Amino acid sequence: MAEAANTMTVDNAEDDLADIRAGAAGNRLAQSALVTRHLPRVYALAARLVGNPATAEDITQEVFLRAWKQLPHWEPKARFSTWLYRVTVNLCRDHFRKKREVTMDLLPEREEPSLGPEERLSQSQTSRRLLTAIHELPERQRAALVLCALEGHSNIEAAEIMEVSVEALESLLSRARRKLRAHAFERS
Amino acid sequence: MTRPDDFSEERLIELVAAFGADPRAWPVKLGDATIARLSSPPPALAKALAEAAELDTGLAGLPRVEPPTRLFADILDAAPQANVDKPMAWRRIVAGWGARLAAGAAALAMGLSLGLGTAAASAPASDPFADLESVIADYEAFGRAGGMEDR
Repeated sequence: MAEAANTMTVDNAEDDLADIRAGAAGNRLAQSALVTRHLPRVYALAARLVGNPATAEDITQEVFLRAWKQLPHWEPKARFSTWLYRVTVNLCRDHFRKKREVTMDLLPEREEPSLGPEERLSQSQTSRRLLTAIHELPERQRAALVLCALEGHSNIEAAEIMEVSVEALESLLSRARRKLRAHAFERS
Repeated sequence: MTRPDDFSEERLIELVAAFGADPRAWPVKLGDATIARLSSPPPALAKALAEAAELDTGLAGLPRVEPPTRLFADILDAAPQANVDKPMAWRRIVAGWGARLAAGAAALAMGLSLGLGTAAASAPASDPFADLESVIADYEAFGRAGGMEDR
């Protein structure tokens, strides 16, 4: 399938490459730039996938530890960001294989000042149901949904991260969204 | 490559099912005919769009996820150190040994001088001035005995 990707990527591959070279030589500014550029999305991806802030922190640290080791050997065949997200997804998968239970102590409620108290309560309940539903999704469906619908990756990048075809990714997304709807909106 | 206006209703429903109700989030370029179809959709597509929009709104309302600030510092702490640290490390080692050697040499010199002083104090027989005094005494005795006259 050769349909065009959407263009929601926020990182800059050329900046990454320069910072990888300098960072491998120990340049603190370059290392800092890499962390600033990628930490928020790596952490968010991990947190959405595992549903637990402490575990997400551990996974994020491990991702960057691997990145630091990788810097001197980095070959620009793939985007650095794609590599980071792939490692994140794989570490989250390893986490689930070791530890089956999923905790749901994720994230403070989002306060929307424009909403009245009733609407706010309704949104909060919807969020809770959706988060529960997301964590009940099979691993690959959850990863596809989080990457595309929550973290704004293009279908092509998400497919690359998950190492699946674009068609397989689309199928995972369809199934994930169908289950979410059934869980979060049709049960109530 | 799918041409922009090739999307059947069935394909549009598939896209909605996978990527949501907002065509800007779809991985395709839409032609005018497709956009027109989406603006007045047939019932099945309209239903799919409405359901997807409800889910999209719910997903957009999920809490934001932001890393704790200390995580940034923790990660940077584990980053590789500068290569220039290696020669610096050698310099530190050399400088450290240099300082130790200098301190050792100073201690040795001080030890030697103290040792000599101590040795002199504890060995009066070898005092060169003691010998000189006895030589002077012998000389004076010799003079008194007339062996040597002042002129």
